[in-house]
Amino acid sequence: MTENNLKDRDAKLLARLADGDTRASREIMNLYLDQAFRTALRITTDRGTAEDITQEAFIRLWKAANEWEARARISTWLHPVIHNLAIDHLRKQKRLSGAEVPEQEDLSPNPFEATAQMDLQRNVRSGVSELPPRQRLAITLVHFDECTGGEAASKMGITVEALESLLSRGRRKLRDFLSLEQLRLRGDGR
Amino acid sequence: MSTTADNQVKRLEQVLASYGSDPQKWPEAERNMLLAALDTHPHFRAFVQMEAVVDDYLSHDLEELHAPSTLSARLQQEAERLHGPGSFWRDLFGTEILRPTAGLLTAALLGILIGWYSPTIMPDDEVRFDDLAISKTILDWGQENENG
Repeated sequence: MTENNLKDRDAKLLARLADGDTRASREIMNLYLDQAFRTALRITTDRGTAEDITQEAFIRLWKAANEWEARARISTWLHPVIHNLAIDHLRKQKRLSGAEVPEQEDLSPNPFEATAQMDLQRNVRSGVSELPPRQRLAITLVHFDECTGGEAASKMGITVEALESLLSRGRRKLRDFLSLEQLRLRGDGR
Repeated sequence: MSTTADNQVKRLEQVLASYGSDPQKWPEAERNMLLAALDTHPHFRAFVQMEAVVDDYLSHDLEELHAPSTLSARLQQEAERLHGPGSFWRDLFGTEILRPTAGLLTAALLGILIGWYSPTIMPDDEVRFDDLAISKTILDWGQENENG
């Protein structure tokens, strides 16, 4: 399906919803809910918060159904909403400093965060969730949500250079995580 | 190596480390220059391979994780509340001020409608005294008993 077809499909789904066909909302959720939830979870690492953020974003989408135009795909509209809600949440928790303070700020997760990470890992193992908040956010924006470096930097309120530094540190940690995982798997395989 | 070539190599290294092995994720303005630099420095291929492993890992991150069913149920409920049948009335009485008076207003509206369309709904017979019914009071029974 081409990009325009996808935009049209999304617009038709929302038009059906606005006309009272609530089966369309199920179809929209089948297409986009998991992805939206994963994005919120990657950024916040807390299932409850990720649920709240995803719910808020989708309720805004339902409300926007009446005035929707086929200019963008639902995911293009939904992701910035989730990013902003998640970034606001991190800022409220003071886990995302606007200042470009490198490494020290990100070093180790607080006990709350560590518990959330353990909860998350009980179900699904995610190296990204083990990264410090700013690195995690940078990688989520650029790798998963297809933001350009400039867009991601602007969302985070930092320069592109600072963003690239967060990205490369995050990827380096992921490589370490992968090496550990491989060692762990080899150990389990014995 | 010239300073420009040196800078290009440094930048290539930096971009690979930050954005990974997929050139589509590299900064658009520098992409062609960086691809050319990659061609002229084949030893960077090993670096690209290394980053591709991280990219592959990222592309499978959380892929088996699904949103909780309770979340989709709540969202479906919300969609039905906003757009489903009856949402007009809910919109009308859904505001904070009108909500407590919704029952009263509905009853009043119903009363007016019934009165308008069926003015004869109430029985128009005058209430008549039934002698028999009046006589059969406990007092009357008593009198009847005394009289034998």
